[in-house]
Amino acid sequence: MILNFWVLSQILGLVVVVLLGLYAALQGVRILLRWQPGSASEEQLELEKRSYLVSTLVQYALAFQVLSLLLFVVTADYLASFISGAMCAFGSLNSNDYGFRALWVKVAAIFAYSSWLMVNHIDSRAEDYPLVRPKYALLLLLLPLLLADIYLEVRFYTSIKADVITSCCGSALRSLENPYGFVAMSFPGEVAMALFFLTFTAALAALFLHLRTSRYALFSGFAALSAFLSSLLAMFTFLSPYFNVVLFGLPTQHRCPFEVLRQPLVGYPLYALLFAGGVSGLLVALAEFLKKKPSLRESAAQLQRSLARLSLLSLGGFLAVSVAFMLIFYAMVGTLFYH
Amino acid sequence: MIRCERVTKVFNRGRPNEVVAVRDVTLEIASGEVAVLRGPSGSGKTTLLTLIACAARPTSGRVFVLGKEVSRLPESFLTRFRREHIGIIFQQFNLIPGLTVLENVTAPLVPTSTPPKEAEERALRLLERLNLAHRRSFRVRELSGGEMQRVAIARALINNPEIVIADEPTAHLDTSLAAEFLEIVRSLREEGRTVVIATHDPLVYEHRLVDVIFDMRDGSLVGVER
Amino acid sequence: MSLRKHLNILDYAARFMLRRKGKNLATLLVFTLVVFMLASVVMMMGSLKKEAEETLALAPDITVQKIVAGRQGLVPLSYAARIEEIRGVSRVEPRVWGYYYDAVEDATYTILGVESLPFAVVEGSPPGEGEVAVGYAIAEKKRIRPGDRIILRDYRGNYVKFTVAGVFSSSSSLQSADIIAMPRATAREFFGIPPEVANDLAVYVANPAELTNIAYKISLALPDARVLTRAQIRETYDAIFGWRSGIFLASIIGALLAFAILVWDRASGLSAEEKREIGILKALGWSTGDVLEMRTYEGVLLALNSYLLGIILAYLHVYQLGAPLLKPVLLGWSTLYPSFELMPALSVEDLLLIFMVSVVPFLAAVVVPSWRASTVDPDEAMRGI
Repeated sequence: MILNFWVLSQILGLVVVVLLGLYAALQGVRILLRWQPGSASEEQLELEKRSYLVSTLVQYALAFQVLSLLLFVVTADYLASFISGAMCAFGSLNSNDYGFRALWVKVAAIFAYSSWLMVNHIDSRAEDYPLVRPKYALLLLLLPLLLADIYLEVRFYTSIKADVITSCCGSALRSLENPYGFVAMSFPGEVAMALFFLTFTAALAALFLHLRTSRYALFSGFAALSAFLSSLLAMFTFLSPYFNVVLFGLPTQHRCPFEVLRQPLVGYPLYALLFAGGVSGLLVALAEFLKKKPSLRESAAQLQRSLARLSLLSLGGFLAVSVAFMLIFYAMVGTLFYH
Repeated sequence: MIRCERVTKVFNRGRPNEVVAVRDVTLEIASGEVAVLRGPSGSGKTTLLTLIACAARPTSGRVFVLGKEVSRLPESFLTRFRREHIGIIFQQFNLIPGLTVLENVTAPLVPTSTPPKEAEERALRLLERLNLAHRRSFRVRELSGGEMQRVAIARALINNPEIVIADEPTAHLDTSLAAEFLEIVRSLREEGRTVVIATHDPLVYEHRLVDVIFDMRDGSLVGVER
Repeated sequence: MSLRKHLNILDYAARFMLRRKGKNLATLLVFTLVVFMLASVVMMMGSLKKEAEETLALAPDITVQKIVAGRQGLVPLSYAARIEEIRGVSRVEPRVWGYYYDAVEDATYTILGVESLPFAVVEGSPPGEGEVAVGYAIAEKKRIRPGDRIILRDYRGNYVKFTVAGVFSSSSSLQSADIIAMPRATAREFFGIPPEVANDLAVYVANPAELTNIAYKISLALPDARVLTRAQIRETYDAIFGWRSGIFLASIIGALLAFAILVWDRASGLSAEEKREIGILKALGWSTGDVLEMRTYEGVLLALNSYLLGIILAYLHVYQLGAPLLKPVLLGWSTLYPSFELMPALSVEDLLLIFMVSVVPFLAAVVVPSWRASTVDPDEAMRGI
């Protein structure tokens, strides 16, 4: 059990998100049960007004969730100094079963909230609101994610024992007891590298072709999501050392994906690009499904193009920054492959 | 152009204070006409105006404006439709006291993608036309009644609406100002706009400009004069 | 959907607020105060933590003391030899040091006997036989420069003249503030410590993972020794930081209370005139979403302005003025930290943290009232309600 200002404020933030989410879900249930398309009754008008509230609440929840993800990593990093053996966020997240699960749930939540907001946005641009029911049913599906998030995070903090020695970073390679870190870390760097460049080539090419021909939307979305995932894998394996060596002069065995955040001017924009690219890529594929409804076709197609452009630019930017750091590494160390 | 089919509007339905403000009204106003809703206060004129102006939806019946059924539109689309096609001159003018004349006139353009410069130019052109350009940076409370009304008219015209709606426009004006208002209505008509006025002022409904008069009593339509 | 529309609404929101200066100013002030309080405490804690960490970084992996009759005594150097035999120990250093009370300045200095100075000399050179080096804070206070003389009273009561060879500084102010360094032999002579003993032993370990294990072996080999690992020292700090969290907790509760008042003010504070304006806007073609957006911008503008203002004020308060408002509350800390020169230590993380506990709850709390205010029906303005 560990309780300090960082943990408290992190939990306070999550409680705010949960309250917003619960309130939004409550309103959602009401809309789901009573919605009568084409009715002019006062109740229908009231529900229409409430739908604005729900979308605002989910927007807030998304914004706070992004903030909460950031703070979670920062808090984990801070907690590392209380956990013997942990040197950075990786070590503290790895110190019990809940750390990395909470992290992944948070990442998934960002994708889920963004998806819902896009469905909502497109739906509210059609006069017949064709997706009201599925939309609010989906909203209820976000709730378990939200609750899992706060549950795992609280469990993470309560399970921390300050005297347990955790395997941080380099030493996780040898540990068999830390499945989450271990799987990523022991993954062969060469394979991760191949996957990284393969998925990025596929995603960038597909998005480019999609913008040209407005086809291949599903493949583009799939490829962009794969690029996002392979980047995470890369940050746990071969990619982070380039940043860590160039920025901090750390040894190449230090494969910590969070270290780069200690240089905020590089770390935050880097991850912002990655998430923007991944999320908008997923939304490109999602928009393809929305295009099937006649009243949504036009606005969905329009948004799809902007999302594809955003995804292309963000993923391209992430790739460019990564390659730039690899080249600087090459100039400093004299080799590109340190494995 | 504007068509109401068996339109009814009930407030506080199912509660003890239930009021049937408009009852089973069917009417039609052609494009370019000047129409008057005539009746004593409490006869449902204003409520019917809100339905025609797309500011509210009827409890039952259908309303068509510019060929589109607006009685079933969700609120956001109704609002957008009103913003794009309808200008409203309110009974109390409803100017925003803290704002200048120019800011009042441009207020409807704020939630649109009109650049502020363009909005101001449009507002200035309208104010010039209504002889108010010299008052552009005055606050509302520094204006006379006639000036306030002209600001309200300028604001109603800022979106270049096909339909202009006025609720008791001459209630707070003396005879000469009322005549001035009717001159403005004439020019609006000449531009091909449809004008709907709710009034019980004979100066207005006896004017030869008026094409059609609908008589309202207790929420019902009791007569049509063409 | 264009950006223009949102900018227009933002602009209107800003003017909407400026027209109600009195009301918004009060909210701004309370909010700024909340941020200021939180930020002051966070900044101060950041500084102290940084100091503690730097002190800890200089501390040896293991410190070995000898306990005689329950009190700390001098450690025989033969202990050092026995510790060196333990596998995994890379180096053992006998340390000679002590406190010195300066009656003239009414201050306590730490006299450190060292072979090589662990600090950066900013002026002059490291001390040789019969010479000392002083921390810049002492040099400033006593107005001494390299080449000057300093007279200290030794254990026999004799006044001893030392030449000041150099002035040093370290990144942590509290270390250089009160230290007088001299060669180890000179220090022995000054304190009267015999050559076969030392104050304590600093033990360095090759592999940090074996630290606990080695500490355990030392305590087995030397039953009368007290073995302190760096982790144990850190735990002491942690206890203090934990206590500080209590203060934070209190300030959070205070902040939340203030928020409750703020929110109540905003929720109930929609005047008839504001409500009328919103009704008119609705009638003029603003949708519920547009008005909600405007109200949201109001909240965001208010929160961000208060946030920035609070942060700036807290920065000036803590680092320029030395936190005069917090010092009395946190006086207990000064027993641990003799000097109160706070190092600016403000990170992006701290800013995020303060944001999370101030702006986020505020925005979340005003969202429902904002929405409620935006649901006025457009026909109400027309019907003159």
